[in-house]
Amino acid sequence: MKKLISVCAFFALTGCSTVTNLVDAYLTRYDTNQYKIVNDIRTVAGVGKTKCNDPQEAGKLANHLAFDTLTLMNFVEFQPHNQHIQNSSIELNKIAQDLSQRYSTGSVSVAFCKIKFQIIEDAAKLIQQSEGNKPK
Amino acid sequence: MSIEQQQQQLAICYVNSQDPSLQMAAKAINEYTEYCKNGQISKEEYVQLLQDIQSQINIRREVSDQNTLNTVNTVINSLINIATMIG
Repeated sequence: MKKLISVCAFFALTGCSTVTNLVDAYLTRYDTNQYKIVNDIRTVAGVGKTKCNDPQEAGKLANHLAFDTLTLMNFVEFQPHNQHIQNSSIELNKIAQDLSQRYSTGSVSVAFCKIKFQIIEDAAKLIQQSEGNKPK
Repeated sequence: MSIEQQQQQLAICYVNSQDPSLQMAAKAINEYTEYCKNGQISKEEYVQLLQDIQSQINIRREVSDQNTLNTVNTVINSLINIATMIG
């Protein structure tokens, strides 16, 4: 009886978020398609940072990233138990859309180009590692 | 407060902080400030990069939470397996 009261008290005090987190933890699963999209983003960003001296090519890759990060955002939007990747994908898309817009509206400095592609590559790598660690 | 004083404060943050996100942010801000001072990036680009730091911190936080869930999942499934074997 004491154990039951303790468990009830624990959930009452910590609220629904604990239950949601535990359910998410139990039901979270690796998704091959999601992993592939993130891998594409990481790879394109890795190539992009080497093309910053060629604005036309870098601009094309920036557009590619804007499309891929939007694809990721849409892909995970309604997936249950995937809130953290949903939030990450929104942030990643913001970073990529900005780079693409800058290439379409004006000139971009080489240093800015390299930093932006590096930021996207690093962020995608973090998300990819996390996705790869999900239970299969 | 001048840019140099801000950079000094960031350097203190970088040395003292144990938080990897704060360390990343301090290092990046310092780097971007130098690029801007040297004219390698424009002021607009500098402002955008500073805004991107917040996005990077958010991504790190979300990924860290997801990693925690992954660990909890492993523990739950291991416990279920042990309980099933004992039962």
